[in-house]
Amino acid sequence: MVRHIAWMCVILAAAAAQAQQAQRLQYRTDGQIEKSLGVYAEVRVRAETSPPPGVALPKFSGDRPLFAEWITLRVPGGHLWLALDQSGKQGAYDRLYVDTNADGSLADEIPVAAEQAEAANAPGAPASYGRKLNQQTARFPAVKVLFPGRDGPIAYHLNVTFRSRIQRIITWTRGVPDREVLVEELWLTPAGWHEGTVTVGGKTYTCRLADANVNGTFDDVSADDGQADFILIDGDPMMPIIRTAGRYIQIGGALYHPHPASDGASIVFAPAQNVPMGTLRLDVPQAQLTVGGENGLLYLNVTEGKVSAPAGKYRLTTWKIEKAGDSGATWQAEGSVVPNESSILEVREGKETPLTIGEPFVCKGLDSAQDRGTHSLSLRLRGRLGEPVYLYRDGRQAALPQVRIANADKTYDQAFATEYG
Amino acid sequence: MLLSWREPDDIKGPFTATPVFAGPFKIEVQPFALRVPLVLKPAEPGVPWPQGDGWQPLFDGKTLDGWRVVEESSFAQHGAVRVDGNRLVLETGRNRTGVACLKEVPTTDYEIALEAMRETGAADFCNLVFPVGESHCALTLGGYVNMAGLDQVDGQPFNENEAARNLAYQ
Repeated sequence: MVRHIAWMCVILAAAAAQAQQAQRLQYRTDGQIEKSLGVYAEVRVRAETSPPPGVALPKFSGDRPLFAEWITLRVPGGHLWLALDQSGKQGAYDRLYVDTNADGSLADEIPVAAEQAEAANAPGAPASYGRKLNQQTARFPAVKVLFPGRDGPIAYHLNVTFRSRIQRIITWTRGVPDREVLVEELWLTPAGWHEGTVTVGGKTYTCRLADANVNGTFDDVSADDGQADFILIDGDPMMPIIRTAGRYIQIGGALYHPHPASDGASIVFAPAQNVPMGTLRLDVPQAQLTVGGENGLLYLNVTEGKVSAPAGKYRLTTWKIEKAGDSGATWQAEGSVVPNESSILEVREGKETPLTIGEPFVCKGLDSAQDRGTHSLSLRLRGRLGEPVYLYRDGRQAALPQVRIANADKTYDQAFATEYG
Repeated sequence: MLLSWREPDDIKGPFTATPVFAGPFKIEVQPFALRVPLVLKPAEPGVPWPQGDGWQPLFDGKTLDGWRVVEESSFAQHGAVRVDGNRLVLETGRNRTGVACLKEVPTTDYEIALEAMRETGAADFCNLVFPVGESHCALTLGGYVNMAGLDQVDGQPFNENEAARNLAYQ
């Protein structure tokens, strides 16, 4: 027996040590990570006509090249330049230059041809822009950028989409009621991620790192939604797959400190010990919460009206409440909390923090009449934080409410079905 | 969640709508009255409008003094703007036709009155942009054929916010 305990200690110690070691992850690329990983990452940068100072440029075919700056901490200068060109003098933007070798020059780059380029004149578009095309989308194949690394260049694949559109700016300037501007942007999304099998707490999982804020690094922590990089853990039956970089990560029902390498090539999971904890107190006995912040994206199961969480500031993003209905059906209400003041909560060590979610939900209707005698009614279901609420019955979207329309003397009183829209 | 409903010809309103939910969750339903169309009364010839003290005319009824025809952005291909029989006539342009007031106007604590008539078309025929402090608002008439409203109240477009009205234009 003593020998068994000794072996177990050795195994546990080995497992803990493995988790605290850097566990290698391989780089993979496959077009859109949204399709491959189920997460969306995007950053938009403004394209300008002013050439970047001090950057050697290629000979452009078009008469109005555009330039955009991609902020990435993977290069010494903190940014890389991109340029857009037209293969015709005034045609659609269909050529892309990226400083793929991070040498600060675009003159040595081979242009990437758009795989899809659509352009159209906006209806009634002003001629003052000096060119015909002002609504355009051009998608380019993933561009391989080589960041400098200690042991040689490190690849990162970037998807680039160019979009231009007319934006109406509503502003009061004396003598001009409003104005419209041409917005030209590059939408950047990562086309690669890091993936590997990791051992945490003696169990193996598939771990993937994705660059949520598209700045080239994989270890960004943030209190803001969409800015913390993704850590996806597959194979943990206790939690959803998606988590984020932060102070903590939940794996196998335990808390760890995740330490992804900035270049995404490895990750360390260190057991979190002596974590300062506080309590969230709710009006509902049972619920599931998703909260995010610098502590990471955490999933909290509320039982008996309370749940403990590491102390810190969070933003409540979603909640779910289940209830039994007639004939044994399980009903679920889900709230999708809008990022605002009411979605922020702070868990204090050793203290209870009240959190107001749950019933009653409020249904509000609006009549936006379309024509004389014809009404278009819309209904909104909101929670106590003003968040949209969605209802499900046995996992499927619940039947929509009816609307009963009546007049004062009840000579008209009928119920109508509603539809999604 | 949407429902399109037409008032029956033979039954009088006003009508009230009450959502009816099934399921175990407690939902506070707020019945809401369907909007009753307002009828705009045409101005009577010869009657000064608006009445009362303190009104400052922005249009003199004879010339375009104090106004300029907007040429910028989507107004670039505007229609003709002329004064015709005490009326300021804005003809249909390629996209929009507009005039802007060049006079000093208040930005708070004021009322503005406008009499507008749609001679052709079925789209919104009047967008009156007026200052509100450092910002602005716009009165839209005739959008979605018979609607009227104030743009961006509570961040909602003119046809969706609480100020939206269904007007029976004469």
